[in-house]
Amino acid sequence: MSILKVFEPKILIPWILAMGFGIFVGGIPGLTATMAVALIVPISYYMDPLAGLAMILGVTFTAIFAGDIPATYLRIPGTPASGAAVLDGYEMSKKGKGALALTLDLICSAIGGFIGVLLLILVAPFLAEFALRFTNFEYFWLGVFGLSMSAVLTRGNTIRGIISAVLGLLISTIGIDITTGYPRFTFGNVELMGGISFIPAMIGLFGISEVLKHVRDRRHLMAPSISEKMSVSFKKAFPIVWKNKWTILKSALIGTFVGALPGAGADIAAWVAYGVAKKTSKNSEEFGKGCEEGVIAPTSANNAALGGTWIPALVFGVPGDTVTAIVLGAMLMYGLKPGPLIFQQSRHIVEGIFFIALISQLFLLLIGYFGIKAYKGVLRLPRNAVLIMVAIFSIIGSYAIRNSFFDVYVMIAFGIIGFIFELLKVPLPPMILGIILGPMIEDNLRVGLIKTGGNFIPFLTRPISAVLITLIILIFFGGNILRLIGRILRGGRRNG
Amino acid sequence: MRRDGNLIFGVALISIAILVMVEASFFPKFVVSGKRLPGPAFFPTILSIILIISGFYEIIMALLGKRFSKPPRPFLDYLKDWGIQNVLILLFMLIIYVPVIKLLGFILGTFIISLLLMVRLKAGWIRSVIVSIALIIVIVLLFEKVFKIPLPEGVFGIKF
Repeated sequence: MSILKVFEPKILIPWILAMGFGIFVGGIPGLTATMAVALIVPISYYMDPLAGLAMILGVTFTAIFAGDIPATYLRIPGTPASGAAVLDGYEMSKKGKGALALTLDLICSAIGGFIGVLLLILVAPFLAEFALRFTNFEYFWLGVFGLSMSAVLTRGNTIRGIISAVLGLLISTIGIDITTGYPRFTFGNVELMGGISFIPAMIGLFGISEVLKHVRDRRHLMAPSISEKMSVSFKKAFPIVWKNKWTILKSALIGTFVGALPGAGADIAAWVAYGVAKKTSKNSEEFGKGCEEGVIAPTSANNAALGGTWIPALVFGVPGDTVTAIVLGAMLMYGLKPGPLIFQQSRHIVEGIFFIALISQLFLLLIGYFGIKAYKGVLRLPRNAVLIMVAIFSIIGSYAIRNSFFDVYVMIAFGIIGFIFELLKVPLPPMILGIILGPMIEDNLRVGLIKTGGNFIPFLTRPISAVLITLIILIFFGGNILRLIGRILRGGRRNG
Repeated sequence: MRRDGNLIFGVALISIAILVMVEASFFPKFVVSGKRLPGPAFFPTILSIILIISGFYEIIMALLGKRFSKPPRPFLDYLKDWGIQNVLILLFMLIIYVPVIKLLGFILGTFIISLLLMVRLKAGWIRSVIVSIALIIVIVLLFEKVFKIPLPEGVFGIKF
C-alpha cells in the first residue's frame, strides 16, 4: 500500500476539517486538545483507521498551536500547553507586535512539530527505553525541576515565584489523597473531593484577572482590543526564525524528550524549553518583556512534545499524556495493538501515522494562518465589548469541562487571587504549574519514600536524579556560581 | 500602601500555613508493619513550613522597605473611583451569573448580564445588544450543538 493513500478524499477531507476544528477548540480557553480528541474519536469510529488517526493527529497539532492565539492577544492560554506563551507573546502583543509573535509561533510550531515527528521516526525505541528508566525518584526531581524553572524564570522576584509555586502545590493537595483515600481540605464539600481542576484555575488566574485589571482603566476601554496595523507576514518572520534556528532546534529536542516521558506532556515541555532558552540566551534580561526568543522556545517545544508523546505510546503502549491515552483507546477500537509488534503487524499504519504527522505541519501553516486572521477580526471590536465576551466565555469554558457550576466559582476565585497577586507583583505562572505538577511531585515523593522505608538518600544517589538535582541548583545559583568563577579567574590573573 | 500590602501578604501566608498545619494534624497517620511512613499530612506540612519561612521573609522585607510618601486614600474614596466600581460590579455580576442563568436560562440570563456590563463599560446600547446576541448565538452553536454540552434552560425553558 502506498503512503500516498493519505491524500485520498476519504482521509484528506476529514483530516483537514479536523485541523480546522482544532484551531477553533484550541483558541477557546477552557477547551483543550484532549477534549478535541475525545470528541473526534467517536466520529472516527466508522472511518478508515488512517482517517481517524489523521483526524486525531491533525486536531492535536492545530489545537496546541491555537492555544497560543488567545495567550498572545488576551493573556489567556487557550490550552495548558500555552501557559508559557503568555509571557513574551502577550508582551509583544502589547507593543503592537501580536501578529508577528503569532506568525513566529505558527512557523516554529510547524518546525518544532516536524522535528518532533522526525525524532519519533528515527529514535523512538531508544528514547522510549531511556524514559522507562525513570523511577519515582527521577519523576519527583523532574517535577521539582519544572517548578523551579517557572519560579525563577517568570518576571518578578524569585522568592515570590517560589511562594506562588508552593501555593499552587498546596492547592493541588485538595481532594482525595491517592495513596490513602483520605479526603484532604474538602471540609465536607463533595465537589472538592476530586480536587481543584487546573483549567478553571488557569482561566481565572490569567483571564479574569486580566479583565478585572482592564476594567479599571477608562481610557483603554474604548480602544480596539488590538490596535496593531501589522498583519501576518511570513516574509518578516522568516529572517527572525533563521536567526533563532538553534533555539528552535534546542527547544524542539527538549520538547520531544520531555514529551516522551510518560506524564510529562506539552505544557511541561514548553516551560522547560522557555527556561533553558532564557538561561542560555545572550539576551536573557529581555525575556518576559516581549522577546522573540521567548515566543519561539515554548512554541517549538510544545508541538515537538506531541511527537514525543507518541514514542512511548506507539512503542510500549504507555501513553505520554492524556491525548495519547485516548489515542491508545482509539487504536484498540480500530483493531490495532500498540506495542513493539505494531511495527511488524501494522507497518503500513505506522508509516501512515508518520507521514500524516509530517504533512500535518504543512497544513498547520495554512490553516493556522487563517485561524490567526479570524481571531484578529473578532478582536478588532472595542476592548469593553471584548472584555465582557472574554468573561462570559471564561465562565462557559470553565463550566464545559465537567458540566460543573462549581468550576465556575473556582474560576472566579482564582480570578480574584490573580488580580490581587498582580497588584502585589507575585508571578502567576508558577502557581498554575504547581497545581499541574503537584500530584506528580507528591505521589512520586511519597511512593519513593514508602519504597525506601522513609529513607531519602536514594532520591539523591541515582545518576539521573543527580543530573536533575545539579540542574535545579544551577537554575537557582547558576548566575552566582558563574560570577564567582569569573571573579576567581580575574583575581588569579591579576595576582599572576 | 505597597509596604502595608506586603506586610498583609506575609501575615496571610503565615495564617494560611498555620491553618493548613492545624487541619493536617487531624489527618490519619500512615503506618505500615508498625513503621510510620509519609501520610496525607506529610506534603502539606512541608509546604506550610516553606510558606511560614516565606511569610516571615515578606514581613521582614516589608518592615525594612520604604513606606511610600503618599498617605493612603480613605476607604470610601476608593469606592467612589469609577474603575474600582467597575471591578466590584463585574465581580458581583460574575458571582450572580450562575444563579441568574439557572433561573432565567442561559440565553436570557447571559443577554441581561452581558448587556448590563457592556453598557456600564460604555460600549453603547446598540453595540451592546448586537455583541450580546452574537455572543449567545456563537456559544449556543458551539457548546450546545457541536459539543453537546447542555446549557441551563431556566424556569421559562428557553432554548434555540
